[in-house]
Amino acid sequence: MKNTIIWLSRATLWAALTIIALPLLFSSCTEEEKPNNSPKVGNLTIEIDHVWGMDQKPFLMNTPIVHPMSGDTMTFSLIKYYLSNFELIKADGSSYKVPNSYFLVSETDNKIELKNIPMGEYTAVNFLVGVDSAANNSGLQQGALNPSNGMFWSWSTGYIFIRVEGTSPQAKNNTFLFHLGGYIPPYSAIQKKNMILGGNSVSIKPDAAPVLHIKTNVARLWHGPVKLADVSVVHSISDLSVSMSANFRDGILFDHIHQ
Amino acid sequence: MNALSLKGLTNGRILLLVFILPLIETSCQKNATDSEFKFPADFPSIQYKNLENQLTPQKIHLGRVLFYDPNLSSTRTISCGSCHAQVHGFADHNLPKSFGVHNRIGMRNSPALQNLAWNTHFMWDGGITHLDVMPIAPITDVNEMDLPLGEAIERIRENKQYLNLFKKAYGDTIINEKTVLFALSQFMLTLVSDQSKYDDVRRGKTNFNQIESKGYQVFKNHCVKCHSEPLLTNNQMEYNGLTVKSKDLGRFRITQTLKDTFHFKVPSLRNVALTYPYMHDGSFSNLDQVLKAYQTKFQLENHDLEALRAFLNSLTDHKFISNLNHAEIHPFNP
Repeated sequence: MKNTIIWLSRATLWAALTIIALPLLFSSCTEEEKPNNSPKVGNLTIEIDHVWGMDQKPFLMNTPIVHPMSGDTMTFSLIKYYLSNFELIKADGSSYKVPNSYFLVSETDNKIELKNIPMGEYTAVNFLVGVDSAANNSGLQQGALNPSNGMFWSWSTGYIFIRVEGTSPQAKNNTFLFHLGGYIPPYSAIQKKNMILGGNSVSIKPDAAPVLHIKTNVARLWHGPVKLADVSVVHSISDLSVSMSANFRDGILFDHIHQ
Repeated sequence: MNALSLKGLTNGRILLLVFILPLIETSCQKNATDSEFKFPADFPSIQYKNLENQLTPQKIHLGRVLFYDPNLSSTRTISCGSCHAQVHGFADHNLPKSFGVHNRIGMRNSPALQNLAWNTHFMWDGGITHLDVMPIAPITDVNEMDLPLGEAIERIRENKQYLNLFKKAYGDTIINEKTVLFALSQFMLTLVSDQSKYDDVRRGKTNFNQIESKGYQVFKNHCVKCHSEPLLTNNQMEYNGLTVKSKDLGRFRITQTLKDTFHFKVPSLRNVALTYPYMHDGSFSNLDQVLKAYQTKFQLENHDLEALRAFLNSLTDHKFISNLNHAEIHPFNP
């Protein structure tokens, strides 16, 4: 009898232990699983053409080109900038934010792939030129935001949003260098772009591969104009960093949709 | 027979448990906190924010090897430890400003590294806001180690002797910005100084002598506002009114805001007797000079200074500067 009681209590103990242990075993470390019954999704490619001036001349690297406003002759050796936090908007105003969407764009890396977007007709795209303040300020990032990409200010934590470099006879020391960034007001250079797709819509569906073509007018950075004889180097937060990044944002325009 | 089968069943259950328990433990290795290292319970909660980077002895050790690896400088001659020496409380060897590669001279005095887990801002101007990205500045700075981050990572990859250390630390041999910088953070987080006489007094283990006790009162009257206890810094950028106004605009460089001009980060007073010269520019060569400057500012008597000096000496943490876990190692060049 005594033995039975002990045995029962032991059995209860074992049962309890197993009940406690098993869920631990299975649930404690499960990676996020994608539900099988997720809604139908599709992808969108955004292709960025780099142009020079309002009349959309080709933007050429390593070739002297004359700025349409300032008249400065500029030879570009580098252009890189961040586009991030993409959000697609339908005609009814509902929207889809593409998670973790950070892209480092250059004249050669000029395609952005947005994946797993819910099916539908989208009439506008919102994004940031630059990197949101949270991503600037939360330690080490990877992928497009990897600090080895040459777009991270090591001495003043945060990203360079727009980086252009080159040579010009009008610039002091014959070189120009613009590193524009900063995420804390009043010197926040994060620029929000609301791009309406010209009354058209882009169709996202599982079997389609639509391409949204946009154009970046690089000359727009020196809109105003900013003359290289006056300023040829910016590499910290400043009023100019804010105004130049805003101008650059205004030079990014919708072109057409290839459905 | 009955007894036997019962025994058999019990053994079976023990076997089951023996089988399940290791699974529970090993399946969550990434959350393992089997480190012997613990932050002092009587310090405030830590400010380091990276839940993914839980301390383990293997990662701390890897970070220590990286900290002392001169291959992270372009000339392969300077490691983090070159300008952050344990005997000087992880400040430089009593240089106003440090020598980088090719004897280039750095911009400011090399700060003492301790209790970094409680820092919210790094460097004299507080420009860096996370420990994980802090080493990028000295590694890439032209006057310090002068090596692009990507090249530093590549050098670590090329050194086959690192493979085993990464394997032990992370379970695989992935060497990238994340695995390198996280490990460096781990080692730096363990540089905790909390074993000075001041700490023993704080913990009721001993008492200040008469002059230290008086010095503590002077400290509480004039210094504690910026050098707040128990870390002995308020982690803010302040203007102390002592240093020469020079081309170095301090915090202004980061914020471009006029009120921040000549503001510099308040350094902790821990191990202050070891970290001379003082201030962001190393312009005060010894403690007496600093105390004399504050004597004028706060109108202190000479005996107040004597007492303050005695108190400041009680902040030296001999266990910290002789802790073998922090000591320089050259595992690849025995």
